[in-house]
Amino acid sequence: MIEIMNLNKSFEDLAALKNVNIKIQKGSVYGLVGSNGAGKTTLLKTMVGVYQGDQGTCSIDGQEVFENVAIKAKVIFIPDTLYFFANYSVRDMAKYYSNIYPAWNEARFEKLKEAFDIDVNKNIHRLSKGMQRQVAFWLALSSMPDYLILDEPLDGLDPVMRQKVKNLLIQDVAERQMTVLISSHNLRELEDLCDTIGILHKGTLILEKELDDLKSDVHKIQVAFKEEVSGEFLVNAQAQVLYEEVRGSVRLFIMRGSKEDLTRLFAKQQPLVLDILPLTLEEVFIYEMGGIGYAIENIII
Amino acid sequence: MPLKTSLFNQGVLLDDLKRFSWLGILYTLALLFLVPLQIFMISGQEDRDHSIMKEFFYLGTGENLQGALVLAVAILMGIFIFRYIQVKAASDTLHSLPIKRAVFYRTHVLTSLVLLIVPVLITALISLILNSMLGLGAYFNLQDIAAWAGVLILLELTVFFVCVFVGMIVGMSVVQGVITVIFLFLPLGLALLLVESLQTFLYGFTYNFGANESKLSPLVRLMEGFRETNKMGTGEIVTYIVVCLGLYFLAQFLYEKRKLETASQTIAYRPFRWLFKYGVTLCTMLVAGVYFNQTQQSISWTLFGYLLGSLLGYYVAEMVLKKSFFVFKNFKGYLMYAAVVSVLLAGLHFDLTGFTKKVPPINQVKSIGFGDSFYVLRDGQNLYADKDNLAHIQELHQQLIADQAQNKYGDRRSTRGMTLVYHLADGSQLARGYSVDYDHYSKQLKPIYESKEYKKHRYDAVTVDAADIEKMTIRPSIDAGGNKEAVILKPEDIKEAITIIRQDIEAETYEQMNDNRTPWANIRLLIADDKMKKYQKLHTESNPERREFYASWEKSYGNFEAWLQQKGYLKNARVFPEEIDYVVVEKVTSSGQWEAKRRSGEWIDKNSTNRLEIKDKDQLETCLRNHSDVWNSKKAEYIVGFYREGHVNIGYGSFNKDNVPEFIKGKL
Repeated sequence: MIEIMNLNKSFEDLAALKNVNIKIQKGSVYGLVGSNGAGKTTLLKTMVGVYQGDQGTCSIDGQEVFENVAIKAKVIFIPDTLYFFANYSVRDMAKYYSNIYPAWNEARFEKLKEAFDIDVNKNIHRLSKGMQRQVAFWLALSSMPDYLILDEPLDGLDPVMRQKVKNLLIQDVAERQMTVLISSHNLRELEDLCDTIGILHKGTLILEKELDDLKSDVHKIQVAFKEEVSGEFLVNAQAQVLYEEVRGSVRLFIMRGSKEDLTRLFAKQQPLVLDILPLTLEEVFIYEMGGIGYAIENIII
Repeated sequence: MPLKTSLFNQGVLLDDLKRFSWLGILYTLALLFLVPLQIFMISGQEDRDHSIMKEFFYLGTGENLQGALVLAVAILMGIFIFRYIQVKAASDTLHSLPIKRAVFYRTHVLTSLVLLIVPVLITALISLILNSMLGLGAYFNLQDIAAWAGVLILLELTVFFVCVFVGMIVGMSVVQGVITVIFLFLPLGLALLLVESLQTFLYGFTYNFGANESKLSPLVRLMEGFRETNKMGTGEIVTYIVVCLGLYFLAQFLYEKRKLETASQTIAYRPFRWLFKYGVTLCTMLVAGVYFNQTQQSISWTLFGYLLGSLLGYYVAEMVLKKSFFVFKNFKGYLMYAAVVSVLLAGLHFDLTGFTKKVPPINQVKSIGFGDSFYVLRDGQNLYADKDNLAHIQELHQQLIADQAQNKYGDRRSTRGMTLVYHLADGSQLARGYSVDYDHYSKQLKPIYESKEYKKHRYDAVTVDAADIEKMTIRPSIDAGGNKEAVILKPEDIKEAITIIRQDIEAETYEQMNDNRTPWANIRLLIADDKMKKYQKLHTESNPERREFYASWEKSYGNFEAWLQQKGYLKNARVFPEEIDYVVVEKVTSSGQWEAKRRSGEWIDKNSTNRLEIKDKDQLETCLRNHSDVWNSKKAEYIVGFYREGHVNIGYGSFNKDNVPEFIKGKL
């Protein structure tokens, strides 16, 4: 489990992280979303022990990460800017990793060769950016980490590769209970991968939700009544309306609640039309955040 | 885990060796080329002096490629091996690996030590093998090789650790290289600048640089190398080792504390940024101040230099730190700096510590070194212990202190250095240096100059043992024929001559010593080969074969003149009016004019209106007796040229105000 408590981190006079609290359960895939400069990279680098927080704790499996070799041996970080030694081939790099990471799995490395289809003797610096990213995944997955921390990992991969990498990640999560933390500025990219999403804005974690809850919990309701119906039935039912709009005779509600409860609530008023739809993840966030008072569109697209 | 001990990481070590061995290999090849190969090549040449082989183990020989190589390799090693902490992507990736920074650090340092030391050992071993195979034991031996290898390793490690230390402070490799070189030079450079500045502002301050120059900077040490005369002492070796160890731990500490996000910043640590800014300001201030002080010799120019240099340094440092040209809004820091420096300068100016006025009480003074610079005081020369002289010198010192107002910021063009080193009863020393016009201190100098002790220091003829002299050669200072000289070989004559000269020296007054009338002749005293052991001080670095003492036959040495006449040596010992056809005298107003006329030669011999030609033999004798061959800028008034038959010039000179013959004064 990754546990971050009251983490603060400043660069000179710029506060990059302000009181961040995150808990990531073992075996989950956590998506960290935020615009550029929100503090995602800083948070990830602190989490893997590259940076040291100014205040608060950042622990994995109950131990502080910074300068902790035993913990860091179980964590692999793929930064947004990749780095390989000059003139090193994939094979050289693998050898280096195998010397460093105790859980290195040579068989896995050989097996993944088929998935990635890159010549192991090729100088990594001669490979394309996308291929270099594949090499990073290849090395990371062969090191059999318990925790995989990825900073904007899918940038520069073509859709086919993107899917392949996602599958590999999910496979490891399912088989070995690997914990994955992915950052991205694009919510849609994470939709089909993560089970929890956190939104970081200006150094603060403003929202953290499990996706299953989110999606099943909020609905978009389009309804038309025969006659004028006052909104009182909603107030009486203590229903949570996140958003309300009137389009001619059709009224649009975004509401919290299960589909059954909502159907029941509206059926009582005998509507002419009643349409209850689940929201896309993006819509969920827009309406959720709208409720808290943020202009979310700018943050997550 | 590989390599059970957590001191090093085997994976990182192997990888380091793989990535950086090229540097070690190049280093080995370069060293082999510069040392054993050169020796091998020389050994094959019959006509070369084989004794120079030893010099390859002195570092600072020839163009000193060895020193430059060592410097370059050690700095490159320090930059390359820790390059990753200056590059953000590399720093992030490598520091996310499960390796402690201390382990990274130790492993990298270990790799560097191997790559820096092994090439030297290989070179030493091959030199040794070469030595025994070619039988070169007569030219250099194991001890030379070992000393060479030891010093080389010590110096390269010092440079390396300075570089690593700097690397931990800065955030860019280029800055690391530049600051490393500055750091290596800093102790000496800063000391030099501070001493120069203190000499300006603190009346009487002086420091003996010559003795410590190479010890103050590893860079100078590396470039000058070490010969028989400046071997590394134990103290120096221990200092280097302590410095290396200190820097090793300090750099490790800084690495562990370093914030990695500072990669690509100029300076990674805030306090060091402050130090960098004001350090640069101070250095440029002192450099500019010293520059203007040296070129303009005036206090207002020096202060102008301080202002200009500090402003320049402050803003350049700001630009480097902020990586921007637009830093002129920030002047608060400069004002603070200026305030502190002004207070310090005022403190120096008003001598708050009582430095200037300090004169040791005479009963505590054992002896005093007195001369115009530290150079003439080296190896205990010019040391005065005579009670009267100590009192005289102290009196002089007191007068110098009293004259502070006129000497301190005064015109320096006609001044000479005056250095006093008091050796006190408790073993300590007190040194003072002044730059003054000696003529102002005739009253105080006269008793010192006329003392026996002074004459002993000044004239070798007083101290040399006449029995050791093999040959005495008297060469006239003006020579019409070209090779006139009187040679005395008879030991009893030499003995007599020396005795007579000593009498004349003893009788010589301060005024006679200081009027710069050209001596009749220069005397060379050749020491017998088998007596040279007594006179080691004759051997100088520039002339290790020297076997002669020099003396002068001054115009005031009347006894000597009479003795020469009596013994019949006089004819060849000086120039006579009979050898001179005529003398031309012209009035001249400045040394520049005198120089120009002397050099072009012809002007003076042409018929200008303002010239005087003298042919009368008595007058010629007077001219010969009174002329000086230098130009005394305060007293000289005339140029004089001597001609032999056929209008051939045989010498130029000048007449001082006091020595101008009456018959010239009346006509010009």
